[in-house]
Amino acid sequence: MKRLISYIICLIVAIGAAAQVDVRGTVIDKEANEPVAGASVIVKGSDGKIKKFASSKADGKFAMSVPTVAGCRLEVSMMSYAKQSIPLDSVTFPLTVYLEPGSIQLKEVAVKADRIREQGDTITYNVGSFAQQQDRSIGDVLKRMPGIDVAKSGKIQYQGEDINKFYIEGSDLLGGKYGIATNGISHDDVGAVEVMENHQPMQVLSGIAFSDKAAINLKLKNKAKATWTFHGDAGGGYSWQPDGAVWDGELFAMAVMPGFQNITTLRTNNTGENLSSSSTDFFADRRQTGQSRYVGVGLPGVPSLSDKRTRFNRSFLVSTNSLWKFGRGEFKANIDYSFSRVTADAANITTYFLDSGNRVITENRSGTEHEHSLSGKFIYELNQKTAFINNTLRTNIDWDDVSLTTTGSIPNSQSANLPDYYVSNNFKIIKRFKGKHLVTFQSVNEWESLPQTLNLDMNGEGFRQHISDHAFYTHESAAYAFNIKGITLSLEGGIKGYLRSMDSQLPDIPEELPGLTENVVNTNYFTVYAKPKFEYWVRRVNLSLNLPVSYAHYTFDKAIADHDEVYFSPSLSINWKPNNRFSGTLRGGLGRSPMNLNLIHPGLIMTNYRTLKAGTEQFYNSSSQNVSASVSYKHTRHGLFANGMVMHSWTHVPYTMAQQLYGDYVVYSYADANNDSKMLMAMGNIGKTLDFMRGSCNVNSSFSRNESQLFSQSRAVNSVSTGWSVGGKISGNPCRWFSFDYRIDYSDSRLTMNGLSESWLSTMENELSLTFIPHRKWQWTVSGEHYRNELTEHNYKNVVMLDTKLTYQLNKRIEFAASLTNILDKRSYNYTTYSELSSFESQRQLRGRQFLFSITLRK
Amino acid sequence: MKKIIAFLLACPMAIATSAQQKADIEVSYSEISFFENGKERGNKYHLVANVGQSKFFNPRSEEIDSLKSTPEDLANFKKTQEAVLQAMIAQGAIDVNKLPRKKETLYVVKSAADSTITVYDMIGADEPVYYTEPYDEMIWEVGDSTKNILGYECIQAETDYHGRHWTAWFTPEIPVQDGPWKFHGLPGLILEAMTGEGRHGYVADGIEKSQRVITDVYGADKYEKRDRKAILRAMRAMRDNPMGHLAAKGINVQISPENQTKKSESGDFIETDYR
Repeated sequence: MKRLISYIICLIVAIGAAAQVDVRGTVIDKEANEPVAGASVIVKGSDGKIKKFASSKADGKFAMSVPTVAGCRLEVSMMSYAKQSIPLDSVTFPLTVYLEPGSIQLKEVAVKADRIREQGDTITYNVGSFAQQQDRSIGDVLKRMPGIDVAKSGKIQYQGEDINKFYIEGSDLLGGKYGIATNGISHDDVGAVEVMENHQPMQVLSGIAFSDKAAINLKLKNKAKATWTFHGDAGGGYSWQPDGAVWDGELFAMAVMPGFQNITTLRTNNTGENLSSSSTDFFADRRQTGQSRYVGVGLPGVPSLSDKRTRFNRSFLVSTNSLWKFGRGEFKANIDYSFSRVTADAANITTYFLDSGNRVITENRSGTEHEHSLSGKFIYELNQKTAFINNTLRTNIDWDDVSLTTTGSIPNSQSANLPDYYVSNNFKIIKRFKGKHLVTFQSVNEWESLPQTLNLDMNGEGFRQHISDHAFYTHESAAYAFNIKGITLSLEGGIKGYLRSMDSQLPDIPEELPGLTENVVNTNYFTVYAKPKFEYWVRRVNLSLNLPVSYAHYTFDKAIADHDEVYFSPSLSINWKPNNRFSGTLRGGLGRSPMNLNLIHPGLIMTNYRTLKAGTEQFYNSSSQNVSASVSYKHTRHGLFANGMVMHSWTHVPYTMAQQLYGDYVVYSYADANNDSKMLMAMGNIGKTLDFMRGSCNVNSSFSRNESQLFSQSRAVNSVSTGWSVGGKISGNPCRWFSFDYRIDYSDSRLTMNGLSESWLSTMENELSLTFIPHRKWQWTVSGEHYRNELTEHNYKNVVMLDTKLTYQLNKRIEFAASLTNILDKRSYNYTTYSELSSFESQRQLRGRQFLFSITLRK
Repeated sequence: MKKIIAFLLACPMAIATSAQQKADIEVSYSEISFFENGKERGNKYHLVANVGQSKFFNPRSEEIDSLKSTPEDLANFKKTQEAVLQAMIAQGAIDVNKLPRKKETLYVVKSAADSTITVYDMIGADEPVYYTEPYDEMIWEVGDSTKNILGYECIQAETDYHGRHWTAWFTPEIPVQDGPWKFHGLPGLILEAMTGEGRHGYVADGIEKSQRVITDVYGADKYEKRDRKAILRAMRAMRDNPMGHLAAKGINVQISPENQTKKSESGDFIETDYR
């Protein structure tokens, strides 16, 4: 009965409505020319009150009846479109309403406890909730995310472990040079940062090979996808020291499209900023050519002060990175060129208090270093569940030169030319059969040439030392693996070949120096190896046992007798992950390994004007053992991340470094004596979000102890270096107009020789940055650092540096900034230390006050 | 003809894509709800919504559900729970609220494309059930009053729904026709809904733009379809006679008479039309 009545009422209403005005129409997306479903359609009376409302249907149509439309307006709105408002007085129905893309400005109020969330192995950080007003790049925001650590070099760690991949929208465009992305991509273009734990980048290995590393993926906002985004930064100003003009510029372009990605960046400055974080490949494996420079002429540095305070530079960097997807594979090309010129000056004044009056010795050092680097990396990769193919061709050319002039007791000028030429190709193919069987083939070829020339001008005489050093390395391997019931058995076998020749000729140097002056060394080897590996998964435990065994034949071109060696170095690791929050790993290994072949050279090589090195005349093996334990814990809902690690290793080498002074020269050589060294290292880190002020905090600590032996002046010296450090940082945004960042680091270290300890010397660094936002468009930052370096026991050197920056945002596209760095204009870092009979004064230069005005444009 | 083809093509695509879409906004709501003893429950819910669909859920419950979504995970989760329980027993006091478990079991999924609301819930601790209802059961009367919630100008609207009279506040500034629980169908986001002299309801306390994927309810296939009123009746019976239900399952719990709660009088469900 009730139903009947309501039905009748409905009917009456419907009939009544027939006399009304039918407000009908269609909502269309103007750009796509397609109907829009779900738009909110409201008829508002002349008093602004809602008279009737509806939403557009799947075909974009809407229909309502109102008694009259006199004075009414029709409002059509929808998320991601601009609102349309149409007066209804003089329109005819049906109406067509065109919506144009636009954004509905949300007055966002933080949705709490959801800054970090977790789904399976993926942890998602909401970028907006960690970003602060003064942040520019995504790297600035990453530093604030608990669990993620960005080192000064730009390297990213998650829970104390290096990440193994850096993705942008799921594509690995940059490889290890992800600094280009972290320094370049604006945090405003990134919606979320995802951390994928236990990330196995090769899909073909998923479920077969365990990975304890995590990868990072940047999820871009829609506005930054399927389009090019650009931003440019141009700044100019004046510096008081070095006296003259300064500049700082950046251009950044990024395209993230379904089939193509590109990031191109150009950066240049002479304001002290080091661009190496944008050009370092953090995933680069150690080059198997295994060479290292003998010549080491270094510029004087300023201890314990931030790079940007002490670097007198001109830097330039250009990098272009592209990725194309074809079908199931992808091709990547990364080409970079970087240049930097750094100058440094230092003065040391030593005063000897003698009965006959003070004797003052001054040593001034002044040097310039140029570094050019051109590198190209070309990769083809197919990454599927059943097959993986990767070919990486890498070329790298560096031209570095250093010149250093010293005046004082041994006046001289040195210049070194240190180019480096490197080419490598790495081909890898993995195929998975029937889900359980894996076959891998890999071929690695590397070639490197590392010539070094040292020119020395001393007492009007010129000396020249040239070293040529070439190496070729080849490695072919095949592997087979299969998986049954959680056990993966794999066997890798292969051959390695290595050919290296080095020769050097020492210039005529003072006769008091003993030893050979010429080296002609060939260090070649041929290795056959087998690497059985067992991996076992039981419940939440992964157990992995490696038992590599190899036979190597070394030839040294008659200088040293040929050697045949067998090496066996087993290692075991156990990972336990009882739940999503906790993970613990134990690792251990022991084994025998060949010595560093670079050390084999019987003759002397000059490292710099007063240091010479002689290597060993024999081939040695070393043995080592190591154990380590690490734990990590996270509670994403509470935003809590913690990790800790302890490692101990023992190394036994049958040769020991000896240091001998001959007049003004220091000669290093190796003596036939056992050297047992021990190393203990421990570190811990806890991070937590502070949701009440949209901030985060972090506490970290580390301890290390190294013990080794050396000979100094024919006397055996047992040296122990001990150090520990604690640090903390906190950042927050307690109210709309204010945010802050604070960091403190304290470290203490000591050297003990033959049981005699020197005193503990500490360094402390405080860094504080305060940002005020008096108005949406204005932003004012005051920041500064305080350094407290202990020079000798209880003798401290304090330095305070202050900066300020004012930013005005004209609109979303244009921003102006004016900054003043080193307001106090501290131009030198001088200190004096005293002993009973002498004083030592050190003078270093700092970057002086600097004014910079810059414009930022964004698209 | 072309249009028909386009429509036919669009249809399955719409269905296929409706499963996992990105949200436009995420809103957090506090639930106003009281225990029998007058204590506030303090439950929290989030709504992730775009124009076509939405999900209303408790983030912590979803996290736990995701942790239990595979048999292995479930076993692990139960172990953790047992361990906590053992620890509590060792300490001599069991606080059920501190156990890692879901407090809020409700999920409300709305889909504009098929004009249906799907409600997922649990009867007791181990009986997952769901029901669907069409969109048009909620008919609103828009009023004149306005008030400001979280900086948004909201307009009052009223409805009689499933046994209660509700007063809601929505903002046309956010053109998402959605809201907490099953509330929807106003020309703007509903930021507050209240009934029974303010003893039941939802109030928004956070709004953000969101890119979050509106995922399906974890383990959706484990829920059994039932009639809405039958579910409410079963929940009522469970709440009125918990011991009886446990005993019926063969679990014997001894509670001294003075600790036994009386048959609940206040605190009826959010829907009262099931009796």
